[in-house]
Amino acid sequence: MSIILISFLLIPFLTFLGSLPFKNHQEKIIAGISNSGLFLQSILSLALFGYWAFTGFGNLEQFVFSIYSHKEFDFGLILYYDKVTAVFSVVASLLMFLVSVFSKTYMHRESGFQRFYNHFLFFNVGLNLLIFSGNFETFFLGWEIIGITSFLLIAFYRDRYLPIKNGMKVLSFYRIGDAALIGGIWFSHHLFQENVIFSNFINKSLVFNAATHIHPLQGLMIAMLFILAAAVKSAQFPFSTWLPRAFEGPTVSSAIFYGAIAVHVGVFLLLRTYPLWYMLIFPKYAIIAMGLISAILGTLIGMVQPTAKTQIAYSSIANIGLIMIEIALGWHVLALVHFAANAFLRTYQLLNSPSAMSYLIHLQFFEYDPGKPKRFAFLPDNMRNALYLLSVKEWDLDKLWYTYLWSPMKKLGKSLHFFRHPALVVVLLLVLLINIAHFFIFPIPEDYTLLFNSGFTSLLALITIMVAWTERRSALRAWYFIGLSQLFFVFSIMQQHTFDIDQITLYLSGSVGAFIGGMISLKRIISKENGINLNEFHGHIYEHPRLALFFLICALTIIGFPISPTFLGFDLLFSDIENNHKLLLLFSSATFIILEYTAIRIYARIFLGPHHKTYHEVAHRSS
Amino acid sequence: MELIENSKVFDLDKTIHRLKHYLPSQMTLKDFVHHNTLHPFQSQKFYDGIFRASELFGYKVTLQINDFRKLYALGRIKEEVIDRIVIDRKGPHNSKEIVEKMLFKSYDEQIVARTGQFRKQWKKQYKIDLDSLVHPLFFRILCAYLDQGISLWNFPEHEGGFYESVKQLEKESGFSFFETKKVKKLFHDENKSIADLLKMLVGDEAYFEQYLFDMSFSHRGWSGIVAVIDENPQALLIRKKITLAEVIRFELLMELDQLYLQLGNHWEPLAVNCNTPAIEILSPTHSTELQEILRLWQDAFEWSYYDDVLKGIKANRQRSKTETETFFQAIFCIDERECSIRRNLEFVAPECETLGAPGFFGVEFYFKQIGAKFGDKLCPAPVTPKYLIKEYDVEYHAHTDKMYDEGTHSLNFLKNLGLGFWALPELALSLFKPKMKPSISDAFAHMTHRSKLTIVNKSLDDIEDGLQIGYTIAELTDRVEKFLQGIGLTKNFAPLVYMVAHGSSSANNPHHGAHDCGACSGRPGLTNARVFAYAANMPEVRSELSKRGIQIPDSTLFIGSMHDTAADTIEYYFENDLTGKFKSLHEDFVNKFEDALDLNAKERSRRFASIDTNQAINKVRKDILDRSVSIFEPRPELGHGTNSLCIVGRRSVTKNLMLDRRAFLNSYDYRTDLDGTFLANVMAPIGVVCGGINLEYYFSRVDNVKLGCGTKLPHNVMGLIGVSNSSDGDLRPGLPWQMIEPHDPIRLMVIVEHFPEVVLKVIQSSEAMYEWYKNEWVHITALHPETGEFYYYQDGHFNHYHADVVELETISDLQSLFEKAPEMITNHITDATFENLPIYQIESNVSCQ
Repeated sequence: MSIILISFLLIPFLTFLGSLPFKNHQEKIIAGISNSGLFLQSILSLALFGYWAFTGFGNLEQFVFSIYSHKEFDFGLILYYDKVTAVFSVVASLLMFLVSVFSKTYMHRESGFQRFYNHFLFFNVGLNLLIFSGNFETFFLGWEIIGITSFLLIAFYRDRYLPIKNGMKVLSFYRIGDAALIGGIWFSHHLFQENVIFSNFINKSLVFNAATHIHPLQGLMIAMLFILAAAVKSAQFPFSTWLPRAFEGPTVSSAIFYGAIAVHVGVFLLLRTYPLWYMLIFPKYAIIAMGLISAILGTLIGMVQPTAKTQIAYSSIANIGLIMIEIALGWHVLALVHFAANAFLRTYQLLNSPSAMSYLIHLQFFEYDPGKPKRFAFLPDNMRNALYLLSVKEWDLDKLWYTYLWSPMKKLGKSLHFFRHPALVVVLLLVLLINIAHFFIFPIPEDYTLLFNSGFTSLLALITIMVAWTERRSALRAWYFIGLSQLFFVFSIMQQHTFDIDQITLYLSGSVGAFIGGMISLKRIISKENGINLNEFHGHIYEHPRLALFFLICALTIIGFPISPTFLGFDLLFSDIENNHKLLLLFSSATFIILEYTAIRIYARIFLGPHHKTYHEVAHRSS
Repeated sequence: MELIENSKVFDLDKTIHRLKHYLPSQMTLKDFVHHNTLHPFQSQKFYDGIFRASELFGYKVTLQINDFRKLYALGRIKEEVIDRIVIDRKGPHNSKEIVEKMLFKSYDEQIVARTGQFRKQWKKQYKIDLDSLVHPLFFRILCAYLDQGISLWNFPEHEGGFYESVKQLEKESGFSFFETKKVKKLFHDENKSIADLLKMLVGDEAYFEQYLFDMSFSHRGWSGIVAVIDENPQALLIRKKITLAEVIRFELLMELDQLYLQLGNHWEPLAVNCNTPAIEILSPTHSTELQEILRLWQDAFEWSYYDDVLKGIKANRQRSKTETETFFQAIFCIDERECSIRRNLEFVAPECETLGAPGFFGVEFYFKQIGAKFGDKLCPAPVTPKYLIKEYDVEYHAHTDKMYDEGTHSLNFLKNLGLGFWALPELALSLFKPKMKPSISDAFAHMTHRSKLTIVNKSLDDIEDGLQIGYTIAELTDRVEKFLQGIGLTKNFAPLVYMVAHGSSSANNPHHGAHDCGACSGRPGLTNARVFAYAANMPEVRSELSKRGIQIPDSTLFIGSMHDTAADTIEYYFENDLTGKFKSLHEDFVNKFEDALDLNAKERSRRFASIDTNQAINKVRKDILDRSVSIFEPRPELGHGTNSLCIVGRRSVTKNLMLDRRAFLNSYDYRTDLDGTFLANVMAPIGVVCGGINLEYYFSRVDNVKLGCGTKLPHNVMGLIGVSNSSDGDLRPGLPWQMIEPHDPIRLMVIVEHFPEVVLKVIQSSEAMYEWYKNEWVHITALHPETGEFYYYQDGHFNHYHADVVELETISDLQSLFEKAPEMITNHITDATFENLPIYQIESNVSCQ
């Protein structure tokens, strides 16, 4: 029976593919494909739920195929079905279907009708991968797809400033989560010394707990990394401020992503990884504390929100906080029920949020009471006012990240700008060449000298990517530094004892082409348009949509997004990092965080945002 | 551009006054009152005004030249019209050369706004993006303060107003919205004026006004709404004290705060290192060749349509008319959406005479529904009524939707769980079986069906909220008389006269007010219809009227009713149950109305992709009804889209012409008013109401993202006063894409059936009225009632306008015309315009009964 699980890969994927070849005005066909695919998926999801419940709630597992296999390592697509999958699948499928039906009329004649459905259905692919994943590799695949489609739908109105700005903001938060997730997966690989399969978790938790006795720090590390990843994705304290800013796309995409599903991915992750941390005291209390703070702050900030959508965002954050507590306390059925209720309610409220105007004004007409007692009247004035003011300021959470993370990182990046000096670039290239030469002469490094140390090389990868990240003028220079950083990254892996030339080939097979493709498209746009820099948005997608798409594909490939073999290579290289190379892991994952942001930033700055040319209607920057 | 002399002194009051003049003046969305978006420029001629607006603020004010060229290639702009316009405007000498330029010369159409240039220097000089740093929190504080009922925890207000409230909040909380100590101190310093702050921020006084324009126009939506509330506190239901000046002061402080925070003391006032001289921001603008070419195109576009209309009217006039006996009369609003229901009603009921007049039916008042705490203004926006009408003798039922329960925004676990599982079936139902519910704006819910109204004043001491409750008999008689005389209905009353108001039900639509009756300040007009009918039925009023020469026979009954223009339904209101002859007549006429509504629904459905026009008519009708209560439908109806004409005259001018719902129709009979006394009353609201609607659609169409509010799909409701695109975005005044798609951006052509000299005298009788025509924001043509010739107004005169007599295409089967009509593939003008059908002569195939 578990073979049926494959249909949750096939149906979403085929529906997505089916939606691709049509033109924007072929609305009926595009929406028809989406509606029928999602209808089928919902029916199957409900049927499977029924079957599973009827046959005694047994877990299902299905191995699909091995994408890549080498020695003890096997990158396989594995699917899994248990109560968490069951509930998420039913809730997600039903809501996706309803929102798809809603969108057919709602999105009518929108210039991005087809783009919307493409992204929406691609999201569905990622979502099902994640929900049905039976191992971390599959899970991560889905997670990445959700992340990118999230960005693309926030930045759906790509000719305005705010959607792009906030899209980049959400992306920057997501990257923290991504890095944490990768770190968590890497540590678990090494702790278990094999691939981690979710179905083994029940038994493995014993093994795991035995292992954590030997490596207590590693066990704690794994738990905290997963919690961090979950907190980011579910907009929990202190990451909450991205959620209300994600409502830039059409109301329908905001509803399905940030009301219904994407925002609950953190909940899913914690339910999934529960066996890995439930015996540990600290993570458990950390979750409870985080959930409690999110619930309280979310409610307070939600109460002062004067806009329909942000109010719903914070109320959702508060409820997810409660769900997190329920998970930590082991009340998983309750958590799942609560998740379903929250997803349904917020989707409904968001879809209906434009009604607030007439409904609430009408309500005021009849129910307005100027003498209504104040909120929290029992509190002393100063405390009440302090709570109010801080809630309007969103408890300075945004400032927190800006002051303590982004700003120092940017400063650091800028302070490294001397690396752009031609002489230093030559030195870097020399280092690289010597590395290569050294590598071929001594294929297996005997000792760790400073220059031929993988930690050092990965530091160079990090430095070069930071230079690219903070580059404000030349897009090409930023791109070259991305390339340089990639080379250092690859060599840092090669400098370890165990590495596999096949993996390197796999990795380079995609990224070399993507690098060259990206370079060519940048050169083309620079030759066609004047004054391109990375200091502002240019919106050249208005005149060059194809070039923009091509560059986006190159950028996505080079950052290891699952559309090319580079993705596999990326994953494999990461799992290749040896246990005693923590420094390499740290630098590599930092590189990985910044890399995606940098490449997407180049894309956004050149192709998205208000168009530089004003012969047609261009929105005000503040709108 | 004029440079500012160094000696110039900054005058804050003058600058504030100027800002208020130029900022958008749209009211809050609950009172959607259509107005000329570029009203500040109306004292200039149309083209001078719009191009000036473009240069000052960067708006696009016409279609792009390429769009015009495409419209020409598609035949939508006619060659002969271009030739005529060019010769007319530029003389015959170099007309060829000009046409050549129109068609082929390439122009740089980029627009660089004058505002914003100086303040941009922050980014250039210090790489600091003040907008990004200041706007989000600034908007949030403003919105929280002005909020009308979204937030569950309200801004702790202080009677001193906005600035004072924030100050008190900071004082009492010990926390601050400001980051730096320096600015915190400045904030609480009473003695610091705006000029002092500008001195710190900008330095040189010559730049002050320019800076304030730059700053305020960087978020014209929020500045605009503050200016509106500052001027009319009643714009808000729940009053908030706020002035533009204090908001400017607050924003300047927020900017200073960010400068100190980001740059410490390493910055100087902006003017210090600025190498461009200060400019007089409002100094005259200059015309360019491109503008000349664009105005020729615009004129040609407009006249390509008007020409057909004038020819159509002329041809129609020459056809013989069959007079039928009138059994009932129906008086609709002049609204161009009622143009089709009138035609359809006349088609199914040739015994019906239809008339049109502004839909508040001459009775202006505030209306308080049972249980309501506030009154609704039910008359055109510029009028301030002195009367209050209240409901009584009926029970108040609260209509609440549990999905909006405050509990869903609290940690009330059970409520969230319960409502969560309720939400799924609710959502599914609203998708597959849409029906009316409390969260949907129901046009008929503005008055309680079986209520009684305080129409007649009992005592002059009956005052509430400073308003007289009800009208005296004399006041009622005045209003009925004036109204009937205006539409020329002073005799030949049919047994039943329906006053058909209109409103529009729509779901999930913040702009629902824009679909309601413009003559009732963006609200459904059902109460007005009822009040008028009640007054006209009163024996006391009738006997007074008869003394003034209007005899309404006892065999005539007025009935108030309302047409829901989205759902295509009509409801009727009676003070007493109908009996006898009236009852049977009414039953008969209701069937006629229903038949007309069927046809109307079908006609409208041709523009709706979700409805198949060819299916059985009752199915179309059902789909139209469902559409008005569908939360997923961003176009419950198309509002005033396509409006382009206003015809003041007898129905015979337009009867049997297919004007495709594009004409405001105001009944008026010159024979009862040879010297134009009543015409002045009739014409008074035409510019401000119809012209306002037309120009709002015009500007929202030509620059939907700056002058309109863009696509409505990402809109977020802000404090119940407006919409923005995101949580951090500026308020967006104007109309959304979904409303203006079918609209051809052309100015309104008013056609008045009267002698040209009378029309001229009338429009010149009031400066406010005359401005619309004098400055060409609205065109006007007089139709000579005796000769049938046209006289077009230009530069102070009505000149004869020659319209060829052409045989119009005749059509007998309108239904199949609608079934076959094209539907736009994209909403780009060159696609969209083909949804608008040409003028047809309708062959009436129903003989007299």
